[in-house]
Amino acid sequence: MLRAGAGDRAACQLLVERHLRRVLTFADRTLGNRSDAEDTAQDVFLRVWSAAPRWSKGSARFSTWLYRVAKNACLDRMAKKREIISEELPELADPRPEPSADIHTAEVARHVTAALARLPETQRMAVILCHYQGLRNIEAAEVLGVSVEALESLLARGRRALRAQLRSIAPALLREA
Amino acid sequence: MSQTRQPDGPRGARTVSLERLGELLDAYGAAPERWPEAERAAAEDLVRRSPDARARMEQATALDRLLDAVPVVEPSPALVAQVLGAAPRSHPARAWRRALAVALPLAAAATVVLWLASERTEVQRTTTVPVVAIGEYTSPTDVLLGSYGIDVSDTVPSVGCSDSELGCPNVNPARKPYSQGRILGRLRA
Repeated sequence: MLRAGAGDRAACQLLVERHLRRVLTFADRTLGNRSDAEDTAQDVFLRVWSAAPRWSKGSARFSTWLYRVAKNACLDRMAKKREIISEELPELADPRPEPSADIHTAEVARHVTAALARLPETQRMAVILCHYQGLRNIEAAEVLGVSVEALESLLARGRRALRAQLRSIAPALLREA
Repeated sequence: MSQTRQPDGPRGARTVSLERLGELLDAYGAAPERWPEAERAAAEDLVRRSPDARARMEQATALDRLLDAVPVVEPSPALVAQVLGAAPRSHPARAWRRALAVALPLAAAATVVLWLASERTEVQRTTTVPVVAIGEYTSPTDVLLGSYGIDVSDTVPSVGCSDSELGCPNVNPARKPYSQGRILGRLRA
């Protein structure tokens, strides 16, 4: 970080290579919109470049700090576009009487994205951080500013809601627990 | 809830109940690498031993597969370029300005020191010019004495001439030479 802050081009490229995809994925799945995700990723990296010259080794782990910045950037953008996002949410498919077992992956992805977007923000972020970003529970709890117990509760409620929403497209796979 | 939820940490010997396994599956899904490290080994052991645990595991696996259908997001080259374009840059111009900010005062200081040193040398050169007191020189200098209004022709040498045949007056050693006394008197005045 300090090298990047001093204008070391190679250090900046390394940070981008390692973390841009993570930030973009987190923002994309949190916001449900690629364009907003790209804008948010740029905002996050502006914060990175701004903080880099003053970065100290004793401060928080970089990835945890980065996700916290990304989370706040997403929350800001959601607050600004809450109504628009709500209007743009794709409708979930009507429950099919005999759902096909081989739903196209892209269609599944669309349904999952829509289901994620319907989750409350903190539940969505908890699922994204732990399932997609692979953060350990203690890291995800730190990013969200909650205890590990609270994180597990968010995750369980979030996955339960996802299961309920996605049962319509894969009832054979998602039997009632 | 049957057991205290564990943050990741050193693996320890512990047991996981079927109920706790259900909580882990509900929260973290079916991939053991997502489970808290402290409970992972015991949970995996339970899945191996218990058919009920395996049934729950299958349900969690199904949801995981659906979630994994969402494709990985790759940043576009344009986004990478925009992000890198905003990255900090080293500024050679700023470095030059910083160097000049240090060098210029030093150069100015060095110039002043050299100038002062040359002035001092000049002063020393000036002060080493021998100055001969009026009463000590052996050959009168018209210019020097003239500046004090002394007519050299009106004086009689009082030093080095004791022979009256040569035109020198008789000198009374007890008496101060006329010319010397007169000159010194005028100088003191």
